Amino acid sequence: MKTAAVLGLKAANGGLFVVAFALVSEALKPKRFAGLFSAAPSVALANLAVVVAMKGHAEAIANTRGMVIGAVAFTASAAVGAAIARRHSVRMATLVVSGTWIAVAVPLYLLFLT
Amino acid sequence: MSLLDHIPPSAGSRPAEPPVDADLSKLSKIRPKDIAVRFVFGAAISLIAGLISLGFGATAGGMFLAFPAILPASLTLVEKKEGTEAAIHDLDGTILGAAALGAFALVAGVGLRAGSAALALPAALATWLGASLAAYVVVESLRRRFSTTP
Repeated sequence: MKTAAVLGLKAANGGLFVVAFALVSEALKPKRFAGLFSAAPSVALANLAVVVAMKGHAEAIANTRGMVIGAVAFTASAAVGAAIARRHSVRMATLVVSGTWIAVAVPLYLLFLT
Repeated sequence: MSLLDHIPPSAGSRPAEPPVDADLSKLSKIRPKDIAVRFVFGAAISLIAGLISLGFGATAGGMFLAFPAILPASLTLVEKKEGTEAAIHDLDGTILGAAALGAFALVAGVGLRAGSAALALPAALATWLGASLAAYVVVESLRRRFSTTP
């Protein structure tokens, strides 16, 4: 029951933080500057706050270790996405971004964090 | 006053981008459906990160705190409303913001080890913002000087 409540709280908090940063991004211009906020730590802040409150610092610190790998993969996937959007289409870039993230994150995780 | 107004464009460089600004009137034009889409994607990736933490450990779950879950939906909306060029420019900024997420994670980790989350998380957010802005200023100034294509 407690696990389900924590997951529900993380989900609700994550959704709210993402909307908040998305609104900031919508109001800003030019687009290159607004794009910074497409990679804002919204999900991270929302989840780390819940983890610290419900489970303590140790689990949150472990989360941040994994997040460093996630950030490297996010940077690589956004760069690949930008190149594909320029050469082909934005639609194709949206399809490739998640796959690139997994292709970069999983090997790095296995190499450095297991 | 633009963030980049202090950077003089070099001779022969292409015209600068519009200055950094906020247009709050755009917020009233956002459709509730677009807000709902973002909320659902944010909630979904938070749930997935939580489930992966339960199944494979907190380090594996932590990776998904920097997963580009919102990006595909966000790019699709930007392209639909403002065109392909705007979506590509949005992705250019996303690269810098994503790199700064690494700094966020490092500062959050060190801060949580050292003390209170009430200090560590705001410090990590400030680090992300500072690193993103610094990267934007550097990249834009280089682009102004050397780029010949928009």
